[in-house]
Amino acid sequence: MSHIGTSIFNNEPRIRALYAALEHAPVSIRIPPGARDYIIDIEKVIPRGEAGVNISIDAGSGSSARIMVRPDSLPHSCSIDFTLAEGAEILYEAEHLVCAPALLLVTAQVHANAKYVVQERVTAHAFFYSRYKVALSGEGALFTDEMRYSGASAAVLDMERAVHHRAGQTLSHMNARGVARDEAKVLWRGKVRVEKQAKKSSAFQRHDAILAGAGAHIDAAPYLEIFTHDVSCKHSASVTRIPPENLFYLASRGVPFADAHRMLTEGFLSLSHHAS
Amino acid sequence: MNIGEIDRSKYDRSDKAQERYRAGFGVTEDVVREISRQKGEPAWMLNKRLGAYALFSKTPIPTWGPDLSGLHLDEITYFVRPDAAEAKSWEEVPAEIRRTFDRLGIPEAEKNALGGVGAQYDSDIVYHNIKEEWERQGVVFENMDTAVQKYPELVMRYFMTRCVPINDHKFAMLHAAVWSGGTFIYVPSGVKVTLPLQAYFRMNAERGGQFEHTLIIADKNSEVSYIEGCSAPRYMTSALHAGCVEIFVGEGAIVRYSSIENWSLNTYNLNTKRAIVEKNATIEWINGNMGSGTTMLYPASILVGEGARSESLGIAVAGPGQHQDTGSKVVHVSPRTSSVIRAKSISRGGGVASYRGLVRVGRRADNTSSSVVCDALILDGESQSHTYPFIKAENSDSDILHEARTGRIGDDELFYVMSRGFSPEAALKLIVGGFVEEVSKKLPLEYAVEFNRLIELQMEGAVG
Repeated sequence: MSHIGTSIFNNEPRIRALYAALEHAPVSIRIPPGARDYIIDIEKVIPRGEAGVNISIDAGSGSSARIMVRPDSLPHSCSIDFTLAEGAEILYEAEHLVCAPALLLVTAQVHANAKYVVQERVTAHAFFYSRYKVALSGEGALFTDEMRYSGASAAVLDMERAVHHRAGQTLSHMNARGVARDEAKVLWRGKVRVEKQAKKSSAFQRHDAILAGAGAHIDAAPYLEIFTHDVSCKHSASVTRIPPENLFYLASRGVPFADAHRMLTEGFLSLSHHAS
Repeated sequence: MNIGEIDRSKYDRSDKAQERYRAGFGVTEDVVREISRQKGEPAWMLNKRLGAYALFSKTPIPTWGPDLSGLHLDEITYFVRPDAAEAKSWEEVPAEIRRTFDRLGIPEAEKNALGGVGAQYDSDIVYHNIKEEWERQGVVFENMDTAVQKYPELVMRYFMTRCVPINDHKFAMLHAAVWSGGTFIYVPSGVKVTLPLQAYFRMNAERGGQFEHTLIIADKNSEVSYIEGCSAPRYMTSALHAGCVEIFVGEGAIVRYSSIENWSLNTYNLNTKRAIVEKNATIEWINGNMGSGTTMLYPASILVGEGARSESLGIAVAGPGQHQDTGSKVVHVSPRTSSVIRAKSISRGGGVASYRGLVRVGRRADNTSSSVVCDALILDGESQSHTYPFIKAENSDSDILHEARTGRIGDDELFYVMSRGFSPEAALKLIVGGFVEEVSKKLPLEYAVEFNRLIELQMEGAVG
């Protein structure tokens, strides 16, 4: 990838190797129209011992479901394709503990007035590639995303979030926060595209990161592509340190430096209460 | 002034100036040798040109950014010399060329507001003058071609070496091979040039290319403000502007570089501007991009000295048929460096405005801070606005912030202004004027007036 002549680190060979494992038997989950408050634990519906799995989840119109992914429950290569029919609601709660190279590809087709909510937490010590592609294809479709990540030791996190507003009055709200410790390397790519016909849409994209390791490295590229005028789109990105005055405040109350650092990082990575 | 009174013809009209020499279409090694021969350049400069040409020949056109498929490099003339020797008085400039600059208001501005002026017509500088006051203090303000002859040591040391090397990118290679004219400024240590110096670049030849080189060296604790204006007549065929600006800001020095680029819509403006900023020095970039069919321009600051600062303020206006791909780059190399980027854009009538920027904080750059704010206005449903920022952070003791917003002018804002008796068009102009005020108030008065007129001209017909 090139951006005004600056290359960003290339993870393609590793991603290709993980892609190869995706060619395994698919798993299909259907949530009947009108069914409410379904709870699906992914660990219980996918085959054990596979290197990779393809999961498709179809939420019928007016249905609502909570999909849970527990740490270590997914194989190293995984793709999940969501389809949300009109008025469907999905809360996708995922927690990933990455100790070996892993790949996660997620797509979502969100139709009229459907609501797709993601809450994801990633703790990585190895290579992790994740790509979300969300299409807001029906009027009034909504996507909210609260993502938290933490990379330590020699982890490499390559994460991409792409939202495509294809219909009018659609709304997306992405809020990602992360910490890179030790020698961890992070590449965060956000892309919001608002098509000409997506009038009166609103898009918000935010990525905040803390560099907490002398050898850590963060690349952030939050992109906006807007093809019409009757919209409101905002994005922000920051890469900062833990504010020294906050550390000083806790230290002055007798909290050891290391504990103060940990407390502040945990606070930074906590999920917003209004996320869902 | 009503927007109906603004006369675009002063920019778009071509003049029938006599030419002394015109190279054939396309760039070849012979063309490169001929440019160097006609200028009587030393061997090291010819070798630099040939080295760059060899690199250019084997480097593909970049694939990122705006579409450059309409740019046919073999159909452009790379060297056109007007039949005019460099003059120190406007009376000595041939009448037909002088008329062009009179129409653009350059001699008048020189009298009223400037410390020195250079004027380039196609490939050659036709007028150059600096007020005696600055000359006495050792300030050098010269045609770049003359500087190669008069100050070979300085030029050899600074010209396309560590700031913009000849292998930087495809169009820097082309520039290094065929550059002609431009400005050389040297401000000695401790000298503060209180009136701005200005250069105006006019590209008159059809299917022409202009490749002027600007080299500014501000020695320790000096100050200088430099303004560039650019325009070209409108033809049906494509033209290319691939200039290069290199600025060396010495320890404690302050350089303000302002440019108002108003090339005609058939021009591809693929420009390179970069500054190397030493300890406690400051570079200020002010860029207005109103013209050109396609612009790719990202002024860059390399903050190599501790405490160095960079401020970049840019406005891009994309009207029908225009793609303004502009932005700013900052590389923080040393500790305690800081940067601020403010980018504004307006797109209307199907125009595309893109912000493309880079902030890189290196491993040694402790205690640095960077702030980037982009604001984009889209005035109608046919236009586009894109934002492509890139943050590269390698230091855990720094703060980097980026924010951007894109939207339209709110109905309530328009209604508020119209309820005070303004027509819809006047209300729109007033709001847009407020949006760009941050840029215009940083320019000298005469240029701010011209800048505001250009914005008004762009806004013509934007309502209804």
